[in-house]
Amino acid sequence: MTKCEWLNSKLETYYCDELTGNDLREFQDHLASCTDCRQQLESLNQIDPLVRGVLQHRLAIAQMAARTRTGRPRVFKWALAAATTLAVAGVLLVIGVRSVQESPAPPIAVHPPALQSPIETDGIKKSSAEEQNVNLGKPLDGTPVQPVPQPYLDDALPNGPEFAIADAGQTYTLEAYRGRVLLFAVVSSDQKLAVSTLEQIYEAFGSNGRVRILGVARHRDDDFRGAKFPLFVNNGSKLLGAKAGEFRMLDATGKTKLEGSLADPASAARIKSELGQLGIR
Amino acid sequence: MNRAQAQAGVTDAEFELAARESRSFLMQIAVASARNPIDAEDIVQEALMRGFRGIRRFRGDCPLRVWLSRIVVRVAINHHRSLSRRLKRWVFFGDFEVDPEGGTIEFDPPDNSMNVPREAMMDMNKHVSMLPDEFRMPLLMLAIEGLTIPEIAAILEIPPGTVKSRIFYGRKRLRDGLESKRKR
Repeated sequence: MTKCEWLNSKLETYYCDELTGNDLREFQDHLASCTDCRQQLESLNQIDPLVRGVLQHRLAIAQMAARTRTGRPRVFKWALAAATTLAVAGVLLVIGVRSVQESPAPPIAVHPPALQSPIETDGIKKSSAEEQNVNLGKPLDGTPVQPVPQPYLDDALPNGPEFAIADAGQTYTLEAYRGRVLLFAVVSSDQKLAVSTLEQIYEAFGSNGRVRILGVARHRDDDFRGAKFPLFVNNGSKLLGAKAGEFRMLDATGKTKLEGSLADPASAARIKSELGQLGIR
Repeated sequence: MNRAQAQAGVTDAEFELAARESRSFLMQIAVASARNPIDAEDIVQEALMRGFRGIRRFRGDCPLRVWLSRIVVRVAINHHRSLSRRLKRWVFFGDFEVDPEGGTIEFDPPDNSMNVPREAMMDMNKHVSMLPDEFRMPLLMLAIEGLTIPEIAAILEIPPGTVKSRIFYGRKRLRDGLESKRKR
């Protein structure tokens, strides 16, 4: 290996401030005597000012785009919304006419489309999926349209995973809780008993690092201000089959150890006893 | 204020104040993280909204602006993946020349205070756009005034040594890219 090749192999170490002692001295000595290597180092050092220029350039574009957006978007948003509505109405009309021609059909509810990858998306996207859960027009026989209930976030999407919850843009699957006991309950702010039971359990065991206790909100807009446990939203998963007010407790290997309803007054005692058996106090 | 907020010492009012004060910093982080700078404003808005909703998870073990920056980075990564947003960009910015893949914007740099020839700047911008996220983000973050390697490491949630290494390889790729163009 020539001296130049040796210096080249040490460049990363040098830039990571990890070149010390004899190696550093040797590096500097060779640099002082070799024009090619010096030029190579200089060409790398010249990149930083250019990158600073690119950042400034991009910042200016970002600010320009933000200003443009505040001036123009509403018109486009409305135009886009109007065009989308017209297109959807057209499609529905065609479907409606076809269904009349074929056979009189009951009102059809369209289910939210499946998330292609629930891990990459967060709950916010599902609200648009929820919006698509609409009734396709009036039934043709004149009977009144039955309102479709607003789906909750604990309703799994058709191809949803077993367990995926989200908070602050981050999605967590069971893998994130491996090695710890996980206790979660599906809650909504109107289920006072379930919420207060979960709070009690969190107060008693929440500081123990071997267990994670959390609530999964049924609906994004539920007001949980003041809740004393960490709160997540479901990310289209089946939540291991847990429904509103129900809880699941999994051991460190991810195996379900206990399940039930937090509305049941005996549940708190069962959970505490099971946690005790798992050595969590 | 709930218990987690109390532990972290952040009330809603404090969060709003911190968010306002960090806004221009977060905008720089968004510009450094986004493939296309025109998404930066949207990314910051979304990150602040998520930050507010997820403040329960803030444990106070890092500065709030670092915690918010992490959300900005995640949102920026997801933002690029969202096809719908990329299509929307064409609607809103149809009169700019935008490359939906690389994020290269073909109009004059508005700020030429760096005293760098226009062509060199545009070349560099193109090469920076083509860098993978793992190299582009730390390299552009290093260009943010006052941001240190340990802070970049905290934001990207990788060790400081890895940040330095990625910055080195990012520089090297840029230099090689520029040199190969000169030779052609």
